[in-house]
Amino acid sequence: MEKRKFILKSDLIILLILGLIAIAAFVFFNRGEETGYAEIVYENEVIERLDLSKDGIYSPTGFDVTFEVKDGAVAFISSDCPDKICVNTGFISKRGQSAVCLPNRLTLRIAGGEGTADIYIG
Amino acid sequence: MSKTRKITTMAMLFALAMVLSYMEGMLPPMPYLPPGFKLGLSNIITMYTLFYMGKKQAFLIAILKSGFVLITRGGVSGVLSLAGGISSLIVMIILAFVFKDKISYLLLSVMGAIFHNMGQLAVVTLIMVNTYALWYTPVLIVAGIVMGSVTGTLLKVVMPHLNSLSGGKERGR
Repeated sequence: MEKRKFILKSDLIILLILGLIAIAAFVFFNRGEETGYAEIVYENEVIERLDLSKDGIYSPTGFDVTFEVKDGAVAFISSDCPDKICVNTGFISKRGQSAVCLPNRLTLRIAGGEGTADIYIG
Repeated sequence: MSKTRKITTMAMLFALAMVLSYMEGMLPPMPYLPPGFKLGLSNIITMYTLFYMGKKQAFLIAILKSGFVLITRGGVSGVLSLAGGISSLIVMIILAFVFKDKISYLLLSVMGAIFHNMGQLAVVTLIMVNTYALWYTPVLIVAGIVMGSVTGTLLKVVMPHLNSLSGGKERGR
């Protein structure tokens, strides 16, 4: 009746290779060092720079979101958005990592160490 | 398939897609899993519709389902649902056209799930007008492999039951 098989032996090989490539890419993307600085970006504009060496809680004006800096890492800890993807991303600390809140159009990302923080929290 | 049967089958499939989508939204986020690891249960219905009802019907289900998400979970979720659903369908259609019967349901389901996530990531990047979310691509590919395998397996389990609904003749080859 049906000609198409549910699963083929070759599937396992294809999926294994694909999975390994993805894991390798993940390791490659996350090889960045801990820069100690994070940026809060609204669309394309950096609205704050955070110094990650000082623990504390911070909420940018005009947004109903809260960030927490702890042990050199930073995370969204609360947000008024419905899906909470930003909060579920958890703490980030390495260059290139980011947490995105789509409804608020906010990105929290780890930035390079150049320059100084605009704002010291804690 | 008679016209009446087609209409009632489509209505049943859409109802199933809505229920599965709603049920999944009620589940708490899975602990220890990064965001993006979602089962996508209603994709079982979209995939079944694609292979047993036809391409047009599958797009219809995907669009209607996004409308349902729009009403229940808001604008951003609705747009993401549409982007994911359409890119997933397009990839499955292309793969099924190129490889005919040589590609398994499982692999189709996995590729569909991966491109579901990729379509959503593309929209996130567009809405945010920056590319910071792209570092998440590898995580979403792994999520697609895992969850696509799960939904592909579930499709196999529910297929006999869905077939008793639709008459069960695969079409479109």
